[in-house]
Amino acid sequence: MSVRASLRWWWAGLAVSAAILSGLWIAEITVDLPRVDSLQQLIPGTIIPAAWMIAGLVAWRARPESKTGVLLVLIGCLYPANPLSYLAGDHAQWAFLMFGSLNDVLLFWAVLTFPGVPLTRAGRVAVSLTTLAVLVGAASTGVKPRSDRCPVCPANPLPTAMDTRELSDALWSLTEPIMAVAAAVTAAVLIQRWRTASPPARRALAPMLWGTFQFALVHVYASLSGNVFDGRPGTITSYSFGLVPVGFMIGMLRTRQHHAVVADLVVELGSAPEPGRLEHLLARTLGDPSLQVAFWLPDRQTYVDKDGSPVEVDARRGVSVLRQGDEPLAALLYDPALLEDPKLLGAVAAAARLALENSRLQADLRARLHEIRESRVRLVTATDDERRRIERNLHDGAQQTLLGLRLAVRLARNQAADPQALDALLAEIDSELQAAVEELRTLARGVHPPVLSDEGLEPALAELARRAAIPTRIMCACGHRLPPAVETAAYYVASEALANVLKHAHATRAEIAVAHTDGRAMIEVSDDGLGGADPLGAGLRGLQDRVEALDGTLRIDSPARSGTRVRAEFPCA
Amino acid sequence: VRRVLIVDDHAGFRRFARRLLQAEGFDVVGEASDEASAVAAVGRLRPGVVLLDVLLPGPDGFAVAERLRALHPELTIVLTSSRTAEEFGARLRAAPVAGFVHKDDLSAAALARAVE
Repeated sequence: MSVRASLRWWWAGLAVSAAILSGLWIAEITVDLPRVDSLQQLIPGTIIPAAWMIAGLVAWRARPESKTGVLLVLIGCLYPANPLSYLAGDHAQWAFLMFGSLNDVLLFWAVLTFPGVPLTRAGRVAVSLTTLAVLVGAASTGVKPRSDRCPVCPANPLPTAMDTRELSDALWSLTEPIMAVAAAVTAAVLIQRWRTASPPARRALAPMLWGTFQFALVHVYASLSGNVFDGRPGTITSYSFGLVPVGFMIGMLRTRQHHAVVADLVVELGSAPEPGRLEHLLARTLGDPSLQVAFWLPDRQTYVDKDGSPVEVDARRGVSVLRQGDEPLAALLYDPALLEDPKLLGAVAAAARLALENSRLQADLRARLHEIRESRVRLVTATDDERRRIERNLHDGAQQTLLGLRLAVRLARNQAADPQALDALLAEIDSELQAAVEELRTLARGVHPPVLSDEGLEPALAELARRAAIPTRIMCACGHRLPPAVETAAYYVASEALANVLKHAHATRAEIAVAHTDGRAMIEVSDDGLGGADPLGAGLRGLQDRVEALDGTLRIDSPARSGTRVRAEFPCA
Repeated sequence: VRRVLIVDDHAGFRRFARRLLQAEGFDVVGEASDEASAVAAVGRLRPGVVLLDVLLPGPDGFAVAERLRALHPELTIVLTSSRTAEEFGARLRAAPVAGFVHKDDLSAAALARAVE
């Protein structure tokens, strides 16, 4: 059990004891009073402060960060002060009365700050007026001469040289208008709050308002019929007063309930809902059907709604921007009344942010997976195509030449009798064989240039440059061998890019640059040709797959008429 | 029957095949490298036998054989390839040709056997 929780239990024990004691005290005091039935006072005298304290503790437990619970407990504790004043000696009586009257201030304060909102300027005016009324009332009571109408009224603490009855009455007559103004200001504040409250906030406000309103009605009725409520238990007004904390308690529990719906929201959002469903869930949780989720499109630097139409983020509506790092994920647009409950709003926004972040990550992951699947298919297809091409080249080229040569040898056998013809035929066979060997060599180099595995990237590139039809410069800034996979991929980037330069670019020269710094190997092929290369063309696409298979990146920069730059980077320790 | 047209896309093979068959007694009347040139050459030269490579650019030897047979029902066609007869299987058995000679075995005698 936390320190805070155990503290609350101490408070609970203290409050219950205080309530029982206050009931007993009140009963005991009133035994001696004329026209007061002590038993009639025992039960309400216990129940009413207990109701305030219990409601206060429940509210405190429900919303520990809110002052409402503490205020309710204090009101319950101060309740017996009024009746106790009848027991005390003259000077103490006055003090007890002051304490008892302080409850009025606390009640206004609790109403105005329920369920944990700060006191507004109008609210401060109302509380100040109530305090003033309490002080004036206390002064009135203080200077009131003891009379037989009120045998237990406190004695006048001032020197009683003069008759202060008129002064006391005059002061007393001031309290009611001051209280009336305080009540009017409070009513205005509450009406304004009700008008701007979101539906969930209204659900919490309603019981508190009903509780307070019925007390105000009963109080006014009793005052008009001459029964000013002095806090004495057993009167209608006292029961009405005892009902007020019930409204507070229900209201506080409801605010907690609407905090609990955030937990439901988090659970529902866990299943990564579609954009439309997300908006519906958030609107339902916040009780604002006008709520809109605007999704941020980083590419277009704009917000769109769930259907993809652009959304204007209107400052007149409530706006919460949900961010992932520095980048916005989305914005929630809602009724500004929701700003009344920043905690709920914050919790819902946090839940939404998690869900959106989750959705974005999932979408990202799906896109990557999709991309990887596609590139895997492309790599396999490319490999198959390559095998077919090699088979075709072997079949159409060297194999046919060699088959022809077999026929030639057979022919030579027939011509053994004619040495001159044989000689010519053998020369023919020799040159055909040489062509076949050259053909095989070219083919093998296309499959994998031996110089690349034997000598490394730089000599292989030099060989590539030597065979190119346009002047090609090699700038190699790494004096050591790179991992074979990187060397091969870099070589193919160079050879494919250079082949494209020769085929399409109409360039007059090309350049191949290689560097290896900071754990990254880089190769760049640039030319001074036409530009406008299509990065989605089969050749460049194949290169991209090859590079990405090694976790590298391929960038093609090919503005029209400004040459082409193909740059691949690989992670490489 | 001894007038032969050689249809093959590889010039080197055609050259030696022509000389071998001629040396061994066939009369090679012409060469072609694909369907169009084969159809034209058969129409012009009226060979008795067409030695037809299976793997041609464009329509393959089977398609060319169908076409030539449709145009010249009396024509004898012998398919040839660097692949074996088994590799072509059912397609070869269904083709309207007199026989098949593996390129490895090509000789006047083999061609004569296929024609018969």
